[in-house]
Amino acid sequence: MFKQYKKYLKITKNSILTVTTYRFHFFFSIISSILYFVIYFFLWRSIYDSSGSTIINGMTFPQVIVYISLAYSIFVLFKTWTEWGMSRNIVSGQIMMDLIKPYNYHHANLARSIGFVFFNFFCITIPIFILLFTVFNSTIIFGINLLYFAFSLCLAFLISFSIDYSIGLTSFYTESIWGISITKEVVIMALSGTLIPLSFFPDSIEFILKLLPFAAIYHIPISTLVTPTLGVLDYCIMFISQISWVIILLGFNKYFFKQAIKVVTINGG
Amino acid sequence: MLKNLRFYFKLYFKITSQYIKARMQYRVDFLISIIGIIFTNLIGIVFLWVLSLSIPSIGKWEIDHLLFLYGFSLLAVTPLQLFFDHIWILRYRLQEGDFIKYYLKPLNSLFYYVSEVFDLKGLGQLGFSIVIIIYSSIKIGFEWTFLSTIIFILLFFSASLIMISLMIIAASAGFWITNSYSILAFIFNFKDFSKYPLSIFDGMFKFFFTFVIPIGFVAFYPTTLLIFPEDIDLTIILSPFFGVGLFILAYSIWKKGMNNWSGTGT
Repeated sequence: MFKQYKKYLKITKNSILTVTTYRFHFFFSIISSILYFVIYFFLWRSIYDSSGSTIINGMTFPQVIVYISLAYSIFVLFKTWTEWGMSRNIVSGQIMMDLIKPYNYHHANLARSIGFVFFNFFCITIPIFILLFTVFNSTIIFGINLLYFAFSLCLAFLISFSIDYSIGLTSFYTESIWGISITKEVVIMALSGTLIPLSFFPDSIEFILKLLPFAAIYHIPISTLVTPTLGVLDYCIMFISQISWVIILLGFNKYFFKQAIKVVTINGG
Repeated sequence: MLKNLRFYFKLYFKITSQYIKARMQYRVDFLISIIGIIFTNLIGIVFLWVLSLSIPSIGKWEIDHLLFLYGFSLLAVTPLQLFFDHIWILRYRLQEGDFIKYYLKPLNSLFYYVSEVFDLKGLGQLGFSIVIIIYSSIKIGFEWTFLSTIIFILLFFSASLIMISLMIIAASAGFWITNSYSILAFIFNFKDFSKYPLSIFDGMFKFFFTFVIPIGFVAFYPTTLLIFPEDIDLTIILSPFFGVGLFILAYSIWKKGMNNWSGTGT
């Protein structure tokens, strides 16, 4: 049973080895992340300063900072360039090699993406976390919830990957990726709580946003870390909504792949 | 000199019209890219809008002032997007060695290089930023007199030169290290700093963004001069000099880089 997954492990290992060659890039990614914190730290500080109260929409300043820093860390962690790789292979004809090899195209991409996540985790997320803990250690809760967080994060990754993968499949039709990928990125940023915590939105919009898959990527894992009042029922609701998104998206992608593969034309080879 | 300028203008139109013809083969890509760039810019508006539900202002900057600042900052980086998009792929030209052709034509190398790409999706950004500026200037009661329009245009030119120069410098690093993508992306991110008032930052950062990486001149100082003229200080007078000075510096670094590049031997 496990034997057939061994080949995917190999793909994951390969993709880790590939990204390690871009050390320069990761150095700048870390500095860029720090700059991102600098902007939003000062921005939110001045927002709280000029509002005159310490709590806005039920959140204090340190809570907001921890929330958006965690959201950004997850954003960086899940940045695996899946749709870029897929569209590059479509344009260059490389996809032929993917299709004739004895593996599942979806699983192979997932394995590749996991390799990226591993690398991101150690080279970007860990440094950011250390930074966070040294500056604002007070508002993150440590305990059994770390376990829930890890579980929730894995589901979040599957959702994030599935969205990337379906965007990659659209490039089978458009043969270009920049526009659609950047649109995906900003829509997720705006609607997931990465840029502004969801509680800042009007109640009705907040309700809708929480039902979307984007909140399941960011809002739910973060909630397990920063909300002290979660009960068993809350966890159940959160995990059920995440799991159902995973199932919906996996099913959709399976169908979408069958459709998309029909339009692929490969020039020569 | 004037004749030279006319020659380059004509040449630019010739090269660009060919480029546009070629790009028009990919209509869907063009459409999606325009939508993409508008969405990217829309996210800042969403941020401001959601924020305005909770707080009326940041310091003395009310939401419409912030919108004006946002619009100006977008407009100021639009020439970079439209005319200088080719610098993003300098690394491929250097890696593959076809950069050699820019040495061989009797043209200004920087001009020739950037003229080869005219980024059509930047037009979406241009339209978007103009709409925001007009809308917010009506909201805050900004008067478009002859004088204020002239000042606006002057400030816009020097502001856009700053971002262009910084990006040319970043791209030129490629002549030494070949792949300058990380540095480009890093510098490009600085444009996000220009969307918010510099007054929110502490002294050290404020100094850094005024004199080291002069991102404050991209939008904050120009906008202050336009909508809060009573706050004007000496720094704003430096604005045009920063733009032109930085561009001269960027151009000389580009030249130096070209002299340094050893080619790939192909």
